[in-house]
Amino acid sequence: MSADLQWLLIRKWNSFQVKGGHGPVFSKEKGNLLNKSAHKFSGLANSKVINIYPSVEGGVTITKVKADAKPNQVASARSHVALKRSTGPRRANKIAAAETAGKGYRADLRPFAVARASALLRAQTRTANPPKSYPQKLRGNKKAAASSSAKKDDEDVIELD
Amino acid sequence: MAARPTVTVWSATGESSGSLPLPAVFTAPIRLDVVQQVHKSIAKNRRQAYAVAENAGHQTSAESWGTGRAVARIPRVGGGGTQRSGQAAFGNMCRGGRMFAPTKTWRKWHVKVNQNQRRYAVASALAASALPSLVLARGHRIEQIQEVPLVISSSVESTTKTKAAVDLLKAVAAYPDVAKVSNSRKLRAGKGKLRNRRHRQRRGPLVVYAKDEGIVRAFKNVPGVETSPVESLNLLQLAPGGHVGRFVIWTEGAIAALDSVYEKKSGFNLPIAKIASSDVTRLINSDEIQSVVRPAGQNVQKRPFTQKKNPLRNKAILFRLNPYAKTLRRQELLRTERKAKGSVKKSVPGAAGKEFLSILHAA
Repeated sequence: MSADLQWLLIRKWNSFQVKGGHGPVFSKEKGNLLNKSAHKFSGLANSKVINIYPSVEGGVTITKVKADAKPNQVASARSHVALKRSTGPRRANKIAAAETAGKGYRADLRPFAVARASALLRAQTRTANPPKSYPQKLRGNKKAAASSSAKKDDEDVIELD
Repeated sequence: MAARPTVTVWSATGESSGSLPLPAVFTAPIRLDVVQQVHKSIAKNRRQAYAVAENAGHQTSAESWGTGRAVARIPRVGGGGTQRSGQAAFGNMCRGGRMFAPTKTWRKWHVKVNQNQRRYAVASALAASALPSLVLARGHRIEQIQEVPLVISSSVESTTKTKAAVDLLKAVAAYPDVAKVSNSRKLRAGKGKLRNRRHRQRRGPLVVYAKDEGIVRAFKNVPGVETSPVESLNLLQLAPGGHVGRFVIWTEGAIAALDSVYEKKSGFNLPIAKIASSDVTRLINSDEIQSVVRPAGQNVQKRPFTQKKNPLRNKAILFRLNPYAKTLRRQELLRTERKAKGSVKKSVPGAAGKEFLSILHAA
């Protein structure tokens, strides 16, 4: 069963599809670099799939289908490359590019693999000075209500004393 | 894609313990249209008859008042002393009347499906259950299992304890699919809650066995897991909702018997795919195709990176499209030039001829 035929079978309906009515159809299966419902990006209907996802302990893992995998293998057909938490974005991008285009795997997915690895690492960055969060400023009726209720609390406290 | 001549048999503890030839049914073509059509029809065969009461809306002695009473001629309830008297009755438009075309218990509830169509659909659904991507696409959590189709040694058929059955599912990494079912359990919307369909949940794996030595009861209470003997595979279980790719766990005996099960079906030959290779890229790059196609020419860029010019205004573009326009234009220019010089022959009509006038005036 070729990937082309498999795509025709899952194209109209599969459990990962997100059809939001108007606009593009998305797909949330593993190995879909753009989460877009298209044969090119499908993580199901392709013989070579690259999955880039955040590791549990931080960093990024890249999963690919082994070259010698049989079509009926599932777990044993995958190989993993785990990037450490300390891997910088530029190195991660380089690895993502190497895993797709550099090793002759899926050259057509290089920009998307790089973008995904980069975005995942950006999401994991911890800033030394996280932005302060300020309480929302109240105006008008809400402000009056808040101040009156605060006063009431004060009075209650006094009464209790 | 390479053919799959064998399937691995896994022991109850999850180690590989031999292999079997893959039954031929797994190479049947996967026809979604056939599966959906057959599923739609056979799903109707479990319906229970229902109808409104035979006499609903007719339990009154209403009669029409006829004309002349300035009311519609619909039958009206007779008598007095109650709200009901004088109210219209019987008609489907009346309050308290019968419905339009009251439902009858003798509605055609069952749909006949040709036997070979049913067999075709089951073969298709089985073939789909042997492709990891289609099983995943149906929503089964099979990422951690080793192989599809998943075959377990026949010793599990004599499992009698549910605990052992759950351990088995965990050993072959099929348990995430059961966990998915447990997590999906929801209260059903609507009246079904009162009618012994209180909860709705996903479907888990289907366990297919050759001989029941306790396996059915062992798996009965595992959420979402269904069991089926290999002789009577059911499309409703193999393609729930008409969606192919059910996660099927086979016992060794079941998968070994599958070929003989299909040989026994008289008058049915396993469907064969119309084309041997459906890999489009491979077809395009094959010698047969490449030897007859014309060599690729130069790239033709339809719109170079310039602004589009309007040939009606831009003469250069016009002449490129229509070379004769150049001649026309030149002639036109020459004519105006001659006209300006006064060398153009005057063809202004003079006085009418004598003969013409005589004829004209004679009338």
